[in-house]
Amino acid sequence: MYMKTTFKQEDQHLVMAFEGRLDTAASSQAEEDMRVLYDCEGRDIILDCTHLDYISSSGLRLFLGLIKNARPKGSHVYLTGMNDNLRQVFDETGFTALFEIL
Amino acid sequence: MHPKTSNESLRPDSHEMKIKGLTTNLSSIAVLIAAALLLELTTAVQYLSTRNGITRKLTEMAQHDLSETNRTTLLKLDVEEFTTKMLPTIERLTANHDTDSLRLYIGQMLDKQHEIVGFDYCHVVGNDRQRNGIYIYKDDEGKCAEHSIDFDYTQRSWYSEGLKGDGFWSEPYMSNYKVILMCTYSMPVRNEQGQTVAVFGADVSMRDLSALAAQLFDNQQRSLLPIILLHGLGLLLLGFIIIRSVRSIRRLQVVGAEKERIANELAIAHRIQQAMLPKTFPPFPDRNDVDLYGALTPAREVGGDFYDFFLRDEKLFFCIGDVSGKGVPAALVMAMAISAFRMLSEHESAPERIISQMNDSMARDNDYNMFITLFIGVLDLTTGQLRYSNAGHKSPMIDSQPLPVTPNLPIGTMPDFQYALQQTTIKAGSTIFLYTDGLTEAENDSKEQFGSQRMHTIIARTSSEGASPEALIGQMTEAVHDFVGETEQSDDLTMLAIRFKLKQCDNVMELESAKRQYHLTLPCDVKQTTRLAEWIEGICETAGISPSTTMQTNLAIEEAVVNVMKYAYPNGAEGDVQIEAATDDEWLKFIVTDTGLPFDPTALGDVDTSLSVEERSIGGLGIHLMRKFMDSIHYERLDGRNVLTLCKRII
Repeated sequence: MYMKTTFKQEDQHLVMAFEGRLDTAASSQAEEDMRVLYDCEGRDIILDCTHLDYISSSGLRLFLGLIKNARPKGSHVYLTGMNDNLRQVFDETGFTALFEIL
Repeated sequence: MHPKTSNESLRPDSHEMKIKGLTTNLSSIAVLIAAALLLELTTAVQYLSTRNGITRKLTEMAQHDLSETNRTTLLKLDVEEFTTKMLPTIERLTANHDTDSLRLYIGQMLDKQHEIVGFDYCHVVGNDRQRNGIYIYKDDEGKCAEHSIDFDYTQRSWYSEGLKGDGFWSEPYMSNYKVILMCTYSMPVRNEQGQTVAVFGADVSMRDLSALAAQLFDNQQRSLLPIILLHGLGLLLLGFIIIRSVRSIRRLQVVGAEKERIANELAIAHRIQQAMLPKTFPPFPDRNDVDLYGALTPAREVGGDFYDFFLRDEKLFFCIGDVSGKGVPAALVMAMAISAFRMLSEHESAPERIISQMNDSMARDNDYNMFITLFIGVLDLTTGQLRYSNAGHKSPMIDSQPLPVTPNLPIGTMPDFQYALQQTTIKAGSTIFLYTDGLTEAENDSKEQFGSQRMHTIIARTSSEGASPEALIGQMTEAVHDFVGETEQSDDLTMLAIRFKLKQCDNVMELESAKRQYHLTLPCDVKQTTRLAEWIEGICETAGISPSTTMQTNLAIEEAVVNVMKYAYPNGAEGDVQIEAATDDEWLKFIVTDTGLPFDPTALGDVDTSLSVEERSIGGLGIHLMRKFMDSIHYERLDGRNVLTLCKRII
């Protein structure tokens, strides 16, 4: 039971990879880690969910907070590599329509 | 009982209306024709009787005329006698050739006889004798005047016939010298040898006869007048009747159209009112723990009875009500009441508080003193616990026993009235039967009421048969119809039946059928949710549950537990969260219990998942995910504890 994030800056993109479970217990650490994405300044953000196993409402709130910050700055938020379970959570909460899912 | 669909047209049938109008016109024309015929008949009868009267009158006049003729006869005799008496003197003076004396004599005699207007003395023409005649007459002023006769008197009948005999009356003729109609009595004047030398005639005016004729004509005119008057009167009457008929037909048409409009509006109101009631039965086809059926038959197009029900987080909210009065006023209050119930019970689970709030809002501006008897129940489908509050309504039946109810007051009567909460536990398999007084007070034509005894009998029978709510209401309806027969329904008839069956899931913890039971106690710390996830994954793995279902279960329970940590124990308050779990082949059940502040996550509204990024708020996702991923969620506050039960079907 863990949760790990990796941040990369590629050309004009900010990329953050998630690994493990983004549950309530992990959410405060994730919130800290994601702060770097708030300085996107119009650059697109890619959230790599290939190794994200689980997300609860605490994690969804972080994603919503991020896109609410990035949108007005002209940044797009892309989600990549979501597994079916994760995709179901996004579908049920209406989040699928909020993000650009690749 | 309920309209299946409402795609029937709401518009009035204009074709039908036209036909009705035409029929009205035709029948009114028929009435008019009949009236006219009747009037003509009356006129004919009047005419006949008048004609009889006239005939009578004419007969009388004819008789009168006959007497007039007698008078004329007498006059003639006078004239004949008078003239005949004159003849010897005239003959003597003629023989003496004393023309002057003759003229004088005739003039003197003319003064003596009033009926005679003039005398003619004409010499006989022929043998060397020329026409020679004198006419002595009364002029316009009644004085004696003389004129020689200058026309050919030989052509006159009084002359030619006067020559022949002893006296002749001519046909009436117009005088040559006066504008009068007259007859002449003429006789021959003879000399001593007996030869006729002249004709002497006396003229009698026909004025009297003319006057008689004029009188006769006048009488006839006067006899015609009543006929003309009567006919005119009849025509006037006919005109009057026609105008009145046309007016009343128009008025009838207006009243008819108005009536039709009201009937149409009431029919629409009926459909709207029926549409306010739940009308899909069975309402919860995918649930095996509850079955219900409702029926409402208004006495008029619209009524004041209502029922409603809906399911929220394993609680069945239901109500039945009866607004005082009938018809449209009751229907308006009914519409208000049913929407108030819906609105209030969305965020309020306590029936006594729903009923109190409905009472307050209704009693405040109750200018028309309308009131509602109302029963509200909240049945916990996981436990069978029924919480209820009554506002002067009839006690519902639980199987064959009436549910004990505090009457309280009907809503709308007194603001701020404190409605009592009552509760009981309904056994699995029981049926709750609610009704309005239209059932027990349904009357037959002998004014007998259906009564509660008949109702009990039917409930006992259907209950022993294990009948469904639909069958119960069907049999009850049939029994009421049989009882009242053809008698008009006097009050709205409303019934609601709820059959409660415990869900297997809810028996899991108590029953031996639970294969495995688990228990976990967590301190109030969100970091502990990691332990929770490991625990749940263990349970699911043992039960052979798929990774997908495991993830969903994990997510729902985490949300439930985190909610407790955030809201039941706010601001770092200390306390434990107890999580119990049980599984069988079909169900996975969790009970989350805490001793914190009362917190009912099911009372939170749901999030709108269709909103945009800007519109979406951060909160509300937890309960949304719990509802989506579990088959049932149910909250209770029990003995100072929050108890949240979550079940998931695993096959």
